Amino acid sequence: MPSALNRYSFINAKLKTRMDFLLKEAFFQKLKDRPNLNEAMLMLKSTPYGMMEEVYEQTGDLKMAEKTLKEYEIDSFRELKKHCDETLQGFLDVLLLKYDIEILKDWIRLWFDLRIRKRDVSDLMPYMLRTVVHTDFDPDTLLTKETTEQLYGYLASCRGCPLSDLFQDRIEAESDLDTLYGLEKDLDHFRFAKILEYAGSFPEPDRSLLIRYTAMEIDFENMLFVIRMSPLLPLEQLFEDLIPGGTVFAGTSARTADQYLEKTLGSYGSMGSVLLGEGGDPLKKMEMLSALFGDIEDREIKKMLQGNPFTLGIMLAWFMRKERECRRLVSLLNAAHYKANSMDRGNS
Amino acid sequence: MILSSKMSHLTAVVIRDHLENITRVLLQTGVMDFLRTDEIPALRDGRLREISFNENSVRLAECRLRIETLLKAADLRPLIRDDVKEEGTLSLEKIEKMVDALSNEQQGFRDRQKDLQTEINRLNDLKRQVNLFGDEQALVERAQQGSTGYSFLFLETGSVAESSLEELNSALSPLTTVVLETVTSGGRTHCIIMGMKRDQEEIEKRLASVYWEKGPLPADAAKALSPDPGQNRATSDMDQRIGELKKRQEALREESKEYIRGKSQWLQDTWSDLRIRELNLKIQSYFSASESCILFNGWVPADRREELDREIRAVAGENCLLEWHNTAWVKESTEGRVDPPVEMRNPDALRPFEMLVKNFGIPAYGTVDPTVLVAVSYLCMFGLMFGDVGHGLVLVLAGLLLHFRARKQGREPTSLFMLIAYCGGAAMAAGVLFGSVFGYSIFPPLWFNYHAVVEGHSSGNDAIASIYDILKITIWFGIAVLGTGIILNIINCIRERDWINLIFNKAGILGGWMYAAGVYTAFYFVGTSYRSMPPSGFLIIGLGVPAGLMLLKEPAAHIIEGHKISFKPGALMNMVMEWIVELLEVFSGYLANTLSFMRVAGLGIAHVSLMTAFFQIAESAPPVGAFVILLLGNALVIALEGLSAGIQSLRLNYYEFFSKYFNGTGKAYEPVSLKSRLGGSSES
Repeated sequence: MPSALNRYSFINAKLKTRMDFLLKEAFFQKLKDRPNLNEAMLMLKSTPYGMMEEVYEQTGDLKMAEKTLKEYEIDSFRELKKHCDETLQGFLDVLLLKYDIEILKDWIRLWFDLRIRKRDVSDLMPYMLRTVVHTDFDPDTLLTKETTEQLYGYLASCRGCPLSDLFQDRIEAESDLDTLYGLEKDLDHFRFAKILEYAGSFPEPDRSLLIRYTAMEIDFENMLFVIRMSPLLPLEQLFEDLIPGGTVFAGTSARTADQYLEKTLGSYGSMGSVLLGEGGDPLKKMEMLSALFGDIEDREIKKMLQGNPFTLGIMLAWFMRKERECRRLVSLLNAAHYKANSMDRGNS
Repeated sequence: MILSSKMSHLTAVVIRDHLENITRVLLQTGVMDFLRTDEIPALRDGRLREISFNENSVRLAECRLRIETLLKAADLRPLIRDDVKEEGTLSLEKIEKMVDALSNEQQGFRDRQKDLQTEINRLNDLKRQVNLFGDEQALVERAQQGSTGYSFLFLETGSVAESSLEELNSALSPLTTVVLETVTSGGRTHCIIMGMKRDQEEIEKRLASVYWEKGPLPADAAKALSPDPGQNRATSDMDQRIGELKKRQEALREESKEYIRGKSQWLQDTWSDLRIRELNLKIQSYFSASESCILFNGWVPADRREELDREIRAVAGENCLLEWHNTAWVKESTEGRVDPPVEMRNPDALRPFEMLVKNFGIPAYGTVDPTVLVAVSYLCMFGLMFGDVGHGLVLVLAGLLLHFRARKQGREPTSLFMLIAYCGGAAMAAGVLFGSVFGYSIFPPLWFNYHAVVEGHSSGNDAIASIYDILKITIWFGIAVLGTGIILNIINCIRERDWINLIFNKAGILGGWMYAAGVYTAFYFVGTSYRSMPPSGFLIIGLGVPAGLMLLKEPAAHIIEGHKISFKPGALMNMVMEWIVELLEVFSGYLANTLSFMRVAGLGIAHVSLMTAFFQIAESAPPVGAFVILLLGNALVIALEGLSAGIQSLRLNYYEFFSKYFNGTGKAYEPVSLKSRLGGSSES
């Protein structure tokens, strides 16, 4: 087994350097102040996100630029594999599962709209990602599948699909897709289970680091889920459907959704009451939760960066930061787009 | 050049009516490094207030940033105007409105591009669906079955009167459709119509308007259809339309750039105007004012003092009071809290080396500016490590290319490019001394043949017989560099009246004395084949006496600072311990510093050895292979050795040379001028 020094010295030095090139807060503040999308895009010209500006300058289409960003994001993580040993490559594959599942979910949603809800989805097609992360599937073939069974059968047979067993189980259980809820839940559970399972391949302190990081992500996903679904699901099922592996096990002590949120946030030393103060508006709650979790993540990243430089921490910190940067960029560009549109409406 | 500019301090009081004119003069002359009034205790006065501004610097910066962004959209860069006489008359509100209008116009172009993109997306989608069928015949079969397998693809076969064919095409053209003609019989042309299912209703309506008759294609229509998927007219038609749409998008992109270029004069002027307004606000932010007067103070290089004095008096006449002080006055009145800034005044040609010095630190005011010495030592070291005419020429060309390319792109080239060119020049000069061109000995060396020495042959110079002689040269070179460092430290100590360090510092008189004696002793020892040391009298005077005198450092410092000397055992013990540690540092430090210069020979030998290795590999390869090996070998040596030599030269300067005398605690002279950098720039 390679020593921590051998495993991490090169990749971590590389990632630390890359972290220096992440966009600074002042840049985001300036981006936020742009009055329209074109000006916001122009600000990206001399940054690593210049390709978004190039696409936008050619097409005027924000969604096309977003699609390019997503491809770039996947590539930037995938590219790291060539600097890693086998264990880390495997770990990157597990992390990339997120994108694989995201892409798959998007296409299944599209299939669901087309086949089950009988909706016209042609407007969405150009913006769908066709990048193969793990599952080598042909989206056009997927869309021709008439029934749920055919769909699962096709996906289970795709080369490189890490979810084959999951789809096979669904065929055997003859579970029809009347809603996407169950399938999406299973996919999310699968992803986190895989990460936690992979943690076993690492020695200490990497194992603990990875488990703590994953638990944090699970908690965040679970809280978002609770906010979104608590008005729709009975409490028992709500807690039953939470992703296992978080720091707080809802079923054990929480009696209400709010209690769960407060307890989970409290476990990170954050003020859960701030979130509950947002009242019943789930959107506002989710926004507030994202902000609170952003702070929690920052604290965790700082700890990872200040700790032993030859651990998995740097890689995890890089993933968190890069992903957050991309997410923030998209949301600010959309804000600039809608700001200009709403100003147009105001003027007319 | 060796010393930084002498600074004068100006305190000015001017009647408030001249506020704008004075600001303009200060900006135009651009020589004043301002201090806040609070920083000089003698100027503090409770009646003085900060000036309130009519304009908001944040809004100015924001507006300037937006103009920069717009210029960037047309691949233009804002140009700095070098005079402040003409001021724009537009209010900030008006400028903001104009910028809004321009920006919206740009957004308009993008929105039109987006519309085209939507159509491209649809056509691409349609094309993808059609491609799934393969050839035209398969397409017709599907169309006649009435099922496409995709609920969003609409396919229909039928015919239209031959005379209405054009009408049919124009009726369907606004929709994402493809009309595939097959055969004409009985005055009717049989076609396949393809489109998006969501447009089905509209397509059918338009088909009805040209009297379209739905129905299967005649049997002979199959002949007009190609079974080759590559010849599918539907896809080629769509490709053509996508190509046209992309061209229109490109045209819009160019049009949007052209639009900005058309307004570039206004944008450039307004950008300059906003920048000047911001700089004016920056200058005025240093002003303190009473109801009738303004007061400001700051540093000005002594040789620009007269010019500024004259300019201020020219606009304020008798209504100003200018008081000039020397640095000692400021030091005294601020109890040493405010130091004068340092202006390193070197010719432009030495900028790359000034950059190297600044990268380490700004020399303290009044001390030596080592830029010239760094230039000489850096280039000598680089040349010795990388001596080759060919390799040097590549660096010169690369440096100049990068420099002029940056200029051509309207950017201020970084000093690094010229540094590369200089290093190339030094390598070429050394290459002439060593007679080496891309590792070949094309002409006789002026000094000695480096390659021959490394390979164990005659160097062509009797004084250089082996690698040890090259090592000796670099040691002498190191001694010269360190000796210069000691001399510079002595000069600095005298200028700063730092008598203790002048005498007792490691790089002071006693340190230098010991180093000189040490060098003599070492060479004497080596010269006698490691058998005998210099006479004991020399050793006592050269090493013993200065070492003993160093024990007096602590008491001398106490006496000069006016403290009492303590004779308590603890204090004496402390003094002796410090003395021992200092002596150890002197001996081990100087030995390490001197031997450190052997890396110059090491890198030079590595450079030659690498080339020799590539020559040997090339010899065993066929001619073409040999050429490729030598080409790649030279490229590798230039990249790898060039970088190593550059880094090692820098390291020797920073850690061996600078550590002897350089005090990098100075504050850079930063006057507010038209060249000042402002925050908020998209570049920052």
